[in-house]
Amino acid sequence: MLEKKKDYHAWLYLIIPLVLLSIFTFFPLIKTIIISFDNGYNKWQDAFSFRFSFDSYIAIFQYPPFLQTLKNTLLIVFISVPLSTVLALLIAVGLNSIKPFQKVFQTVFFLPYVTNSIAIGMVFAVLFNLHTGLVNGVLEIFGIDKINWINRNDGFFQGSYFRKMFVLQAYILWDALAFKILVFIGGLQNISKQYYDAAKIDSTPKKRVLMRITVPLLSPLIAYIMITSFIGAFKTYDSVVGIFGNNWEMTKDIQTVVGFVYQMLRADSINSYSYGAAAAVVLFLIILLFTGINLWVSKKRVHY
Amino acid sequence: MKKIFIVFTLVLISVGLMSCKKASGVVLDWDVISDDLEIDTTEPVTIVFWHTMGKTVDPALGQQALLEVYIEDFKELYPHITVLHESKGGYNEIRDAINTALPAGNEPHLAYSYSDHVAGYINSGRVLPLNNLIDNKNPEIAFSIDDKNDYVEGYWNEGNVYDNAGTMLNLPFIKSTEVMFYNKTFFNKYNLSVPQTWEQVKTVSQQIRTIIDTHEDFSKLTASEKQAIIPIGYDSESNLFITASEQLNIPYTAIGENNEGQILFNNDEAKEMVSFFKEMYDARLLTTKEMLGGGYTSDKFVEQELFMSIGSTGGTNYNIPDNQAFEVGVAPLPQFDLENAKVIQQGPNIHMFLKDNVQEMIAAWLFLKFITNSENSARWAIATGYSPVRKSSFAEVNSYYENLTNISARQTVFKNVALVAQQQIPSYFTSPAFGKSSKARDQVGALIVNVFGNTYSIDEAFSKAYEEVAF
Amino acid sequence: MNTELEIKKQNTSRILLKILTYTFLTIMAIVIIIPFYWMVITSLKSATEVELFPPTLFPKEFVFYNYIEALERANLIRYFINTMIVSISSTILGTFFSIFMAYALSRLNFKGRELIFTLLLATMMIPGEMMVITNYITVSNFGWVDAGQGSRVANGPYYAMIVPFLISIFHVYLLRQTFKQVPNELYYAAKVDGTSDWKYLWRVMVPLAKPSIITIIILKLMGAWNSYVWPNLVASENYRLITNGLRAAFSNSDTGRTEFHLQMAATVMVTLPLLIVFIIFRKYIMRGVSRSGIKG
Repeated sequence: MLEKKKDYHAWLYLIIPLVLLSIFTFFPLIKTIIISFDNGYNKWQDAFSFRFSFDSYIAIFQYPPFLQTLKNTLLIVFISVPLSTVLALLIAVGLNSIKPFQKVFQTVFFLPYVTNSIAIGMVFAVLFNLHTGLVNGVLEIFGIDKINWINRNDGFFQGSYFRKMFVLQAYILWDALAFKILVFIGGLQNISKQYYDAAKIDSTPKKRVLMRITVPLLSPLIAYIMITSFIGAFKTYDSVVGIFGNNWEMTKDIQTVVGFVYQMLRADSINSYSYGAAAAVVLFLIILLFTGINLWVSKKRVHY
Repeated sequence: MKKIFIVFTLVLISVGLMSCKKASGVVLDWDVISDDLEIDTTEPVTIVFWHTMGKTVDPALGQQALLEVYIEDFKELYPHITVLHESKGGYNEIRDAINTALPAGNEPHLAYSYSDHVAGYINSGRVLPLNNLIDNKNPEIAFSIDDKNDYVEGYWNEGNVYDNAGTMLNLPFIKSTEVMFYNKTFFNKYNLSVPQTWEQVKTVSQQIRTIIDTHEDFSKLTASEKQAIIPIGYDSESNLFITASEQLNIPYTAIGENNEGQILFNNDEAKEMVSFFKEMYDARLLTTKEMLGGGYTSDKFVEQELFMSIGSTGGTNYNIPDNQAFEVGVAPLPQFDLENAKVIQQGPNIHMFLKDNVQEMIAAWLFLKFITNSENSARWAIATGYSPVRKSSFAEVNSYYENLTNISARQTVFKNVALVAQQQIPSYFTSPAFGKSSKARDQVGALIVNVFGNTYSIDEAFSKAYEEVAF
Repeated sequence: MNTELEIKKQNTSRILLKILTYTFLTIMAIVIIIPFYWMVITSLKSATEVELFPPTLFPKEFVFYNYIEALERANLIRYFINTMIVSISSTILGTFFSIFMAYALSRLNFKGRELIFTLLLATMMIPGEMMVITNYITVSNFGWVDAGQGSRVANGPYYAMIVPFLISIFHVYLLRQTFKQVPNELYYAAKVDGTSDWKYLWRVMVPLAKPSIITIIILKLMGAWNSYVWPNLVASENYRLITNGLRAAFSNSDTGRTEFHLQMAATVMVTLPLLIVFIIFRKYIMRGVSRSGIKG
């Protein structure tokens, strides 16, 4: 009897949010899936052709630019997320351990979060510009020739996918730190000083303190950051546009799956919308898979 | 619990299914509006106009301020009509806004557009064919023969690029074209002649290249600074490809017998044409906006690192240096064959959407006629530097400049731009608009960038571009 | 003596660590600051200097007028008010809903809890663009959209901008993790005392989770502050947000050019309030929460 009462109780807390989510998230999600199977969906009339087919999926998997975006997205996810998480953790721990200038540093590290990522992306683009960027300017002082970081091949300076990816990853890293640092600092504040005091008495080396006390006590937040950052990284788009612009034709080699989806949704021909939906569903399934893995791993490693 | 959950999901799915509609095929039917209409001035109507005009305060600078003057003037003519207008941002933003509004039924009565976009809107089945309005039995609504002839033919024809039946879907509003701005001071100093054909462009560019590389006036520059100076720049790669194809009668796109779009640019003559320009690029004679990797050719032009800048008349201001550092000359676009001169036309058109209330559509049409009449078109052109759409307006623009006392250097350039734009009137051409036409345009631009940048060989670039459009 | 050496070693390694930490933090800080520096100096350059190729590292002259011009061009006061209305409403309502959901998902036991949680995670896995047209149609059917002649429902555009995105699983998840860290003993003890779930939520959970809640509040504020695509679609002129004003006002659609000096000035003006909010709330976030209640 008590159990049943609890159940209704819990649903009361959830009912309004669930209704809102159903209308504005679940419903569009299901519609997207349906559209991905209807190649003749007409977005101008919001009408279906009621012809079920896998055409959209087949078409995109045979389309090299889409496969390229898959590759780019995976690279972004598996490099930037672990890297930024570890870095953010170290910075948060470092920030926590210093007294003077702590406020200044905290404010500085929060800066990226309050700004428009596209504006900052443009700044990165200026910094790494082939002819006029600061980075190449500095290199020239050391006698190194100009390097084509992010610009197109111009026949005289060869561009390179590796360098574009490098700058992109650097920017994503820069952008991703602020939020993680914020969360970790909040989490660190919650760790009782008593644990650290006990460790001090035992003269435990700093590294051990980090690995055996801090990390496990922070594990719920680390798990949260890892899982949400993975999901977010799979959906990268703004970062690419910020640095390279949104001209799909000129930036195909470095764009992400979401970039592909956007491009498809905006096109003027009929079957493009369905292609975009198919790509979104593919992305969704990939994210679902990796989140599942993440959740399973966190079940083992997270201590509440 | 599970039961409630299941019920809930079923409700969700059935609501979803109920809102499923079947797509209807699209046919451009002129008779959705009658060709014999009466204007009802007793019932007040409100119409909505979406555009991409910038916000201005002074009507003398055109854009929204001038539009509001037109709206006031129109209200005096037709007191029962209220016009509401809204800027949707830019070229891409207005397309997105309309594409989102259409499925919800929120589209405006009139909107700025470009034919490639309208080719998409057609799929909604609600773009209004204008033929029965243009040829309406009611003389207040129809265009007289004089009116029709007054429009520049090339601009008028941009309205019927959608099929082979002559369906008119938009009227031109304000137009721009491409001209060649050149550094008159530099040309005079080194005795260069202004090129009219591409062969002449090549020759003159080579002369300029030699001057930069060897003349004592430039001896103080380092090698890399000299290399950064390019004789001629052509901002838009897509325009370069498409215009050059027209000039050489090379197939680009077409509308077939069944009104389907055809992609034809993957041919040998086009490859030869691209090869010609690539040679110029490799010899550091020519560059384009993308190849400059972020700079506009007009920026280099005003800094005197480029001496011939081919760009839109809409960008005239950007080709004029501060402090009159040099004199700016305006010349027509170079041609391959002076007997077959072709120049691209650009600039927004206005189209209409089908609405339930006929009087609303009539009101929108009357407003459209009003803002594109001879006097208003001229006034807009003078304020913005764009070209008017009627031949009689050109005469007005010319007399405006003639009667300017104390004409400044800047105004002289605008005046010359207007003259050259008029000169090029017989050369304007249009490309067909269909679902993939905007993609084709993007692809040929990318093609040029890939060829110039040595990312692909010419053959590879063409086949890749063709595959992309086919996707 | 051995211990003296030991202490000396510990001291030096402690100092070394401190130096390392400071150097590390300083380098990262410089990296973080450079783009900001660029933004600010661009906002103070003149129109011609901004177009210079290569760009200058320091403005030749300070054009503070850019800020005034930016304010004039875009109807920033109106947009600011709208942004305040939208962001404050979303933040208050959204935070409450986040607290309720996180509570239900962490503390309360009910059948299907983990399943619901995973389903909710799924809502984060779809790119926003896919939902735009569908949500626009929904919101338009509710009468909240102004397509030029006013919306059917008064102040509709505000609802359109606030309601669809009230619930953020991103935030709910964070709070759930924090709630889960509150020891079970506290709950059982409260239950024994006959405290209802509701009371427990507000008396114990929320105070303990203050840093996370403040984090969520800031995130929500910023989300509303930075959103652009959706407000652009559903809001007509009088309801527009600051972001719309910023982007549209300084770009010329036909030529594709942006007036960077004005756009950066506007961006700085928009970023500053957020920064100030953070500085004010920083104390609350960073301050530790005393655990004395638990010990007893």
